[in-house]
Amino acid sequence: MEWIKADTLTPVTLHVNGHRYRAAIEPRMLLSDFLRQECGLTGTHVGCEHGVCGACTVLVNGEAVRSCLMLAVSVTDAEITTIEGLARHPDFPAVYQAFTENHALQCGFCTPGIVVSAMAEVVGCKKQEEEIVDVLSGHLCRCTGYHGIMSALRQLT
Amino acid sequence: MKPSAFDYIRVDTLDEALSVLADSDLEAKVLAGGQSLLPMLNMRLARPKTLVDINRLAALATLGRVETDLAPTRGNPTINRGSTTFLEVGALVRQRQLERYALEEPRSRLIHTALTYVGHPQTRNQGTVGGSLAHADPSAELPLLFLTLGGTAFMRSTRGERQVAVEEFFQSYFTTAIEPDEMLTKTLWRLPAPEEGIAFKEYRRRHGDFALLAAACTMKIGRDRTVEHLRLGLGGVADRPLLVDEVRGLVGEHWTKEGVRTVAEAVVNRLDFADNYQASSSYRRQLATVLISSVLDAAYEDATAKEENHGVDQG
Repeated sequence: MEWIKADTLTPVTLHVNGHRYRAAIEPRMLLSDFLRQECGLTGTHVGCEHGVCGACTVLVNGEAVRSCLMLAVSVTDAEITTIEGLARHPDFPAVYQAFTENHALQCGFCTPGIVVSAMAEVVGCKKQEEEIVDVLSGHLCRCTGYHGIMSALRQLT
Repeated sequence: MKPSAFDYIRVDTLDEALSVLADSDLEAKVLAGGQSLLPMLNMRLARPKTLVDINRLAALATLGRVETDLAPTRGNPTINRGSTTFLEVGALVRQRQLERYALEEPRSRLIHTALTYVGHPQTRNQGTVGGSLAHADPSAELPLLFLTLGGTAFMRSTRGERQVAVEEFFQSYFTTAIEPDEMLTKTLWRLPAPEEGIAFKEYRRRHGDFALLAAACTMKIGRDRTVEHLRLGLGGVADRPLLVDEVRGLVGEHWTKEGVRTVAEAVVNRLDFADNYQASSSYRRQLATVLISSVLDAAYEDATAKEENHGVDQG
């Protein structure tokens, strides 16, 4: 049992993109804030902060999840991968190219989250159309680029 | 949009979790997947003094079929008494884990269908089955499905273990039979027999949103095509998911459009549909009439197809 008091700064170590990041934090710090503020990994975007927009999506032990709905202190035993880590993945160039060719982004705010979900759930996964829609439904794009994004994702299955 | 301060206790055993919950001074709230709790913390709709993180209790993540004589549906004569096959779902089983399991298990098809309506793959990866049931949002899919299938919830505290039939589990808005010192440890879900008809329908503005209205149905018909038993559950209409008593009028009868319409109208007339932020009262009543009729017809059609195949197999 580990008990971390409310207002104390307690050192924790998180494993992110193959590196160890150590910082003194309060237990209420969200994983998304730890990644941005303590690790300086600002590719993880923070939009709605209640699990709706999907901009903060990262991989925790290989599964795409909302980093704004997790506490940093809760994932000290996990392997976390952000968009910065995935950008070094061998599959990434194909994703980059598919998004470029299909005009799958405009302002780019939602893009890191979508790319994280795509690489976990779509790339090389032989998904049906409705499964791709289900994955993309977890992301809001306010430039309404969904058609372009769907074209890119279809190309990547 | 940041949580208020709380003490955080990560437990390594169930007994540690129960001892934390037993200390009423800590006012501890259980953190499982956090897909309902974290939004409430971020918006400060919840300000617990202590969070007890149970994510490392791997023993609570068991999933599999069990055969048991347990009477899970006390006080409900519409259930098929012959079926004793249950799906045992540990409280910490992730919704995505159950979704993948249910895809491969023919008798869990209704569970699979309903799960595809729960949030998004990214929230189902982390959200737990137990968490959704304990949160008891009146428009959430998993509570509706648990109630419609029938089953039992198991709770533990330092005082011991307790079982509650699902019909008594959901009590009001975000309120269940779980006492403050108790933790939900597992649930048993009745699996429909292979010949039972099943259907799930939901209406919402966008995929992944909470349901404006959801309905689930299981139905067994006889060789003569009369209804042998039928359960219809509704979500999003009251302070908790509801089992509809009016369907008893269809049991023992042949299926007719008039019978279905009579039931749908009786349900809609009995329930109170107030205006809410999503829709007006008259819209919700109209939607309920249509959705109830359509889920009943879909379950009957499924039951008929299965009964025909069943007859062929036996011939």
